[in-house]
Amino acid sequence: MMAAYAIMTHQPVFLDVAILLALIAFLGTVAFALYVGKGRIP
Amino acid sequence: MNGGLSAVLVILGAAFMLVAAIGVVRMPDLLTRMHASTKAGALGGGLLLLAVAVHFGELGITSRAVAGVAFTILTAPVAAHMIGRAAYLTGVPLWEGTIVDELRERYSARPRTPNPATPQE
Repeated sequence: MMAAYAIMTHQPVFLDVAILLALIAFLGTVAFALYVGKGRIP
Repeated sequence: MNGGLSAVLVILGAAFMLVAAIGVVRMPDLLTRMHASTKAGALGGGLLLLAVAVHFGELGITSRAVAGVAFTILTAPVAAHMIGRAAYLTGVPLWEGTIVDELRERYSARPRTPNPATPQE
């Protein structure tokens, strides 16, 4: 979605936003899965 | 030429995202929904990032887009695996048409917590 913004506004800074959002989404997913699976954050 | 190629890539990526969303709505189960959303979503996101790389056509932006594609391809299966493992271990009910459950014997020491919302056989 941020890649579409980068094309629409001709502003390549949004590409960095896309990469950062992917990173934070992955970390949040892993933390949530660990929390649900074990009941505590190791 | 550049704009046309990037437009085609954007439309392909959006189509894959649409397929992923339809799969999430239509699939009956957590694991099958995850199966639909992970692979088609990662492919659609990768195609959108490639469209950005084609649209700008500079070395720095292209390298960043390729790094984003590599990161997505590396992390999407790991995240899906962890979500599926956590869902199975916490006893999320499977689809009633499930034929094979190969983990049932392996985790027999720890009984699955029954879901009170679904009737037990």
